[in-house]
Amino acid sequence: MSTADDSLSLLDDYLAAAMSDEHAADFEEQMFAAAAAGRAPELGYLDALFQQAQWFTSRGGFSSGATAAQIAELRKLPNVHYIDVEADTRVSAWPADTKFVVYRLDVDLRGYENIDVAIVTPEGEHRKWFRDVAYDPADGALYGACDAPLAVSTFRREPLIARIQASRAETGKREIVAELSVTPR
Amino acid sequence: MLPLPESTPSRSADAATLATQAVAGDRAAEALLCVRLSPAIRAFARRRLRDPDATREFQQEVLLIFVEALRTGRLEDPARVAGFVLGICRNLALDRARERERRGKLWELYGDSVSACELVQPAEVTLEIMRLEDCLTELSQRARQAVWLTYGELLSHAEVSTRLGISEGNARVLRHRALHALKQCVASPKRWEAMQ
Repeated sequence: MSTADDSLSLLDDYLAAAMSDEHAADFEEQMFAAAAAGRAPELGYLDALFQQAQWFTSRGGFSSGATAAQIAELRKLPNVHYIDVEADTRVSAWPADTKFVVYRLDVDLRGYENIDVAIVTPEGEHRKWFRDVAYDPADGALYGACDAPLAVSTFRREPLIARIQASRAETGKREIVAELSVTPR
Repeated sequence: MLPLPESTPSRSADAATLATQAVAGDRAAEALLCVRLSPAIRAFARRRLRDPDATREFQQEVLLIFVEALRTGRLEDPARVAGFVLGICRNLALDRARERERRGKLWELYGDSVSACELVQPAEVTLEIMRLEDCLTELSQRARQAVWLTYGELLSHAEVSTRLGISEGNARVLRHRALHALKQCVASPKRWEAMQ
């Protein structure tokens, strides 16, 4: 296979049947030769993505954001820890056997669209983006769930601020809707 | 990654060398070849079958035939081992029904050897899954959807563009960009990993 970027795009075209059968026949020769030689990292990447994507089917796919009802169902399961994030929230350590951390961000996003959440330190240093998140239409709040090890970096490592940015649906005006701070206790 | 026998040959060994060793009875070389070729076999199957179980079954069948060929000396030119396996895939795709009966017998003979190369579906969350989960949040909803519809719901390119309501060209570009961004993201260690 050629350069990594080209190979990844070509492999995606091949897998998604966005490549003609004639072209695919030639591509298969290259793909098998690269695989046999152990020189096909992009093949390993997409192979793993297929496997990992199947794991996500039980979680409703790759969507970002949840509803209050979904979070309520998750909270009925064992080893699930819930955090209600308000303007200034102090978060205690959760039990060691916690598998999932579910949370609610106390904000009302009804009437907004294109919602992004930037995780920043109080000094303004960027940590992470949550892009295009969905809110619960019933109360406008943001709900989410993640594996406990991932949640540690957001809730337990250092003081952080969730800066919620969105566009007003009516005017398209971009604004910071809320800033919720989280501090490990 | 699957565990390999203790006498694992050099991971940088070329395919012809491995195939020569495998034909000579080196089981570690044989196993490494199976591991290397398995993603290509699965890709071949996924393009045609679009079903995880059928893909797994196809891979299993190809590897059974391949291992049998290695052990019975039917691989005449080790330098062409990749083409040999691709040939197995193509023949199998042409007439799977004829081979189904044969598979049961082969499984009895070589099943134990082949099972080590099988794709294992993780029951518990893995580091790789958490990295993916982490990286997905940085993509736009549309980009996540494009990747999900292709790699999660296993839809064809045309179906994906219809579901997204955009042209096939735009769907293709969207997915390519998302895949490149994800690849770069999952390859880099995350802050939370240092806290494990």
